[in-house]
Amino acid sequence: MFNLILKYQLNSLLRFFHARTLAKSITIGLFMLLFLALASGIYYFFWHGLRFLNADNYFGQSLLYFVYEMYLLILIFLVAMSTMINGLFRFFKSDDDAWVASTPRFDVITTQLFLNASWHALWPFLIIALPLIFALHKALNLSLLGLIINITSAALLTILITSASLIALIALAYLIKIINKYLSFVHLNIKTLAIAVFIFVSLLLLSTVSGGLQNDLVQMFEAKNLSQGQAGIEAIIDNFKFLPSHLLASSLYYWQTDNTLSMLNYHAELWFFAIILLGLWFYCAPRLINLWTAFRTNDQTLAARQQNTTAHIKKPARFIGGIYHSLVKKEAIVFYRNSRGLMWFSFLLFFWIIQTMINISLSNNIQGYDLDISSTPTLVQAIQILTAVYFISAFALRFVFPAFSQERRTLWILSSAPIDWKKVFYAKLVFYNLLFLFIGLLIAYINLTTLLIPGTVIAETMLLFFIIIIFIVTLSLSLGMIFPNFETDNPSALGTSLPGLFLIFISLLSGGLSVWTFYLKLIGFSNIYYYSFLTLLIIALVTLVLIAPRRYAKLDKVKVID
Amino acid sequence: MLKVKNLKKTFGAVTAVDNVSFNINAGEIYSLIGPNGSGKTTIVKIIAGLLQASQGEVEIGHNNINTKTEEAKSITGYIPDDPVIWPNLSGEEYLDFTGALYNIDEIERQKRIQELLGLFNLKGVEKSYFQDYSRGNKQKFTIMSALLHRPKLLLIDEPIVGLDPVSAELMQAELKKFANAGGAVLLVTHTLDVAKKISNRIGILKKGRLITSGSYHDLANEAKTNDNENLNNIYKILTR
Repeated sequence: MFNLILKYQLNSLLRFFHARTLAKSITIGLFMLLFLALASGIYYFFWHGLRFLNADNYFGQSLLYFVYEMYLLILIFLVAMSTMINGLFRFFKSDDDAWVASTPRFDVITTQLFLNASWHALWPFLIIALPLIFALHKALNLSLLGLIINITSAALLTILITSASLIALIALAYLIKIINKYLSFVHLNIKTLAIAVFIFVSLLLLSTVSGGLQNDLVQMFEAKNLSQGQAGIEAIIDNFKFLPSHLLASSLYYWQTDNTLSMLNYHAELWFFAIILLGLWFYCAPRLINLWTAFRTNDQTLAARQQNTTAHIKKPARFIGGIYHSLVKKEAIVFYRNSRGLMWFSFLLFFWIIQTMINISLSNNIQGYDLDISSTPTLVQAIQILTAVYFISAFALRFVFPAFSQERRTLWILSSAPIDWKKVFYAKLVFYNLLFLFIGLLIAYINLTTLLIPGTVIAETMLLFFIIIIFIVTLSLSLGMIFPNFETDNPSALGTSLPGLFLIFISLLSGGLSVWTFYLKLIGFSNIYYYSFLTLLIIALVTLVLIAPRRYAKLDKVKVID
Repeated sequence: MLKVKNLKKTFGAVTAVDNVSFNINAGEIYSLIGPNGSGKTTIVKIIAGLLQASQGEVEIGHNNINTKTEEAKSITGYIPDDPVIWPNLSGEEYLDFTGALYNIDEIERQKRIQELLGLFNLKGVEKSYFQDYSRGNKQKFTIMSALLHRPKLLLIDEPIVGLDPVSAELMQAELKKFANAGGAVLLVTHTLDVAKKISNRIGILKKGRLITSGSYHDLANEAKTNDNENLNNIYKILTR
């Protein structure tokens, strides 16, 4: 069976390179370079950071432990979310594998699901976990055996989280199936499951974050009693022991403290849990075809039933108030009724909210002890702008950049209507700018207030956010319009194209430059760089708005075979 | 109503449409038939505005589609072969949105939507999401959207694919009614019976070229058969 799947996957890969081989090879090569650069950046960040922290006699050991716990929490969260969202739509929604279900080898679907989830989990493993482990090895000059053990541990943790997430997804599906037997209004369909996943992940995340937020960092590191020589790790263990990432974090900690036996102990625990969960998945997997059928059959039945009743949408949208208004409204409706898109949107937003909550928590913690932080806000402010640029870029890459390519199959409606492409472009521009300005400025404002800086500085920083958000959204939409893809409407595939890569590069570069010039202004070095950069951004923005619709109007909008 | 002059479309080294010219007058139904890959759909998509012609001119009601694009499109209705609509819009919302794109007055739009829903026997399902419709119902909604703004020219790519026999009959009757009221229809189809039954003239495409065009009688003569010969045989002879 594995041979069959691997052969299929290999053929898919070869088929991908079949047309436009050079362009695709260059794109893949550039992405590899980007990932390598990212991994190297993380590696060097940790290499310097770990050495610096380790040099502190009192905090060194425990602070490193805390860093591992927090950092690996990101790893498991990314893997879990990615697995659940992909699994949800791939297993219960995608029609690609419907034909496999009708064959005697229907169990291939679930194996493919696991391989697909593992493939998606590979990049967090390579880019998040490995750089930390290699940096730790190099910075603290640790043993080679520990290096091998901990790389294996990280792989086991990734497998463990992937399996656990898939099992959780299936358990939720079963739960809905059971509830559906007794409560008919709980429909057995993808929407109910998506809501269940959302609630489950939210609860899991909030309980994790609120658990962490309740802790006082001064108390956690016993910083009031410096005479004891070294901060203890008990509070950290208490805080994170219920998380799977604690096993790897502890393994790293005992590697760092040269306690090989304890390290191996945690390594063995990872083997144990990974095997149990993986075994459980592969035991359940062949039996899942019934669940697959139940969900899909019920979706169809429900649809058929709804066609014979009077209403599905209780209050249909009305398109009044002119063409622009109608186009913007259509964008909004298509956006918020797309359950898969909304899940990814919530996923990214959650991350940003968590970062904000951590900021608030740290700020409250610092204020509670009347510490003087007057020298830090400028740098922190700069980092916050970078963080916001990163989040806005991630949102834009996932939602704004594919906006035109995703119209691929519905493009005939707009193409054959008597409307100028400029109107369609402006409508999308207005919708996405309003959405991201609202979210971006709100979260940025909350973050800025934690810095206790004067109102004028907050206003100035908000203005920068405002321009940056509009620039990134406009850049994303324009690039997506200038280089549309009429072969796929999969946002993940669209984001990994050459123009997608270019978008990431320009977004992060403009973010970096805005932060740098703004920082120079804040420390009183020079204003000229900042204002010149803003002027440049505005010129680029206007140029994009003028070019994109004109270029798009001249393009063939469909692939024709007849 | 529709003038197509020396139309040419190339995709790289492939010539999909090669120097095609034809006119369709008001009140006329013109069918384009031909083997797979002969360029039928390409021609319709160029006229509908989805593709750019490499050469040649297209005029709809004296409006050149490149210079008076909006005027040309506002009197055209297009029904594609693959009726894909935003899956999370309801049929009613889709019709309302299309009406807004064609600038139809809100009150008139609602009246027209109800009229078409009744005509196509879709009252009661209009509030369901598009993703929940059968292929036939999806096709009916695209037909309704093409008729909503009372166009003067209809471009139809495979009109009865996915429709049940009753709806297919209804569709053919509506097309005849549309033409009798002064509308022009360009029909692209593989269903030769339909082409024969409702068309005033038929054009046959082969490898991107319009090899012949005329009434059924003209085609039968050209194939050296008589009017009783079925279109399948005439088509086979002429595309040989």
